[in-house]
Amino acid sequence: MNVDFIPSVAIACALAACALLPVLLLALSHGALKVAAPGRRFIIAAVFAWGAWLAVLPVTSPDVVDLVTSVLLLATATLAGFTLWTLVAWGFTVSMLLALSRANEPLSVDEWALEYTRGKPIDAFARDRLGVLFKLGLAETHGDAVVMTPIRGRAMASCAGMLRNLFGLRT
Amino acid sequence: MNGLLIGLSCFTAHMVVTLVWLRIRRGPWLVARHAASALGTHIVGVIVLASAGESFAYWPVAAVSGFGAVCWLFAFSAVYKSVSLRILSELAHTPGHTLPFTSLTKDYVRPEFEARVKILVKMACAAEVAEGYVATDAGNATARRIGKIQRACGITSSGLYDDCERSEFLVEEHTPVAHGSPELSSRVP
Repeated sequence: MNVDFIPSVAIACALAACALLPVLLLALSHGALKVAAPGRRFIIAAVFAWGAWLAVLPVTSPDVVDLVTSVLLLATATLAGFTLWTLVAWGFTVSMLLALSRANEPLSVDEWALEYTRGKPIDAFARDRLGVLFKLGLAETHGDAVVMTPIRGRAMASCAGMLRNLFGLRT
Repeated sequence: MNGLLIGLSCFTAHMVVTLVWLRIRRGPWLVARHAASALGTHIVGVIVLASAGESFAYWPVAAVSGFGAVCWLFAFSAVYKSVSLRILSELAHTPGHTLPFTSLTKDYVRPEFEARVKILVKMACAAEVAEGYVATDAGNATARRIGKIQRACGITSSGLYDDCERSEFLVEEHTPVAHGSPELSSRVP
């Protein structure tokens, strides 16, 4: 086999920056450095990880392949980290299990929903998830109705529909 | 450059394998199929090409196939589990693309909650009893593990986006449909 497993200096620096991301996340989760909002905390950790890599980039003088490889490695770590982070912080099924376990007694579906939202009606959950659509400009409110926006909303709905078909998911 | 192309070939093989495998009804969890396919096509691709006498650096291969696999899984997860995209899809299929908020809650969000209840029961993390649902021993053990991870990560929220961000951002309240935090714009629904 003629496979070179030893990374160049530039790629090694990118791998180190990838490893720095979870370390920074943990550092920003406790003590004096704590950033309260989990979403903002992840963004700050990612910015610092990318910044650290950019800071040493001129010293490593990478060629094009090393540069592309480094960017892709960091992007992979950021995206994978973001996926795991959202799962831990906002995961729907995960949070439901935590709520049921926390209750430590039998709950009806309605009681379970109340425990999940910490005492708010299930409307609060609906509002919470709709908030994402509003912020991304995919839907808006007209009085007490929710309306899909004609351009961005329709484009995203079409895109999601195509992806569902591509992955063979039933609608 | 050779490594980047080999990585692209591994990712292409991964896409083909998942598109076929996801259509087979029986088998492991869908996300597990993604992971197994990504790892399998990567390892097989590297071994086959190395055995064929190709000379290449490993890390460009890992970077391209890894990045492709994560993006592919990200797209899949967005349409597979996202409640927000499910709501958008319902709006898209409704005449006028409009639904009353109460109808969205009653007909789509509550059923989504009930669907997740079924998933937890199927995973043996929850069990149905006469008075409702309880966490099983396995469910409690899983919850304790997740709780430890959350504590390590300094997360104490309920799982609602607004609750998580409330400490830093003002959130409109008592409106028919409250808006989320400004930070949500950076998230996939």
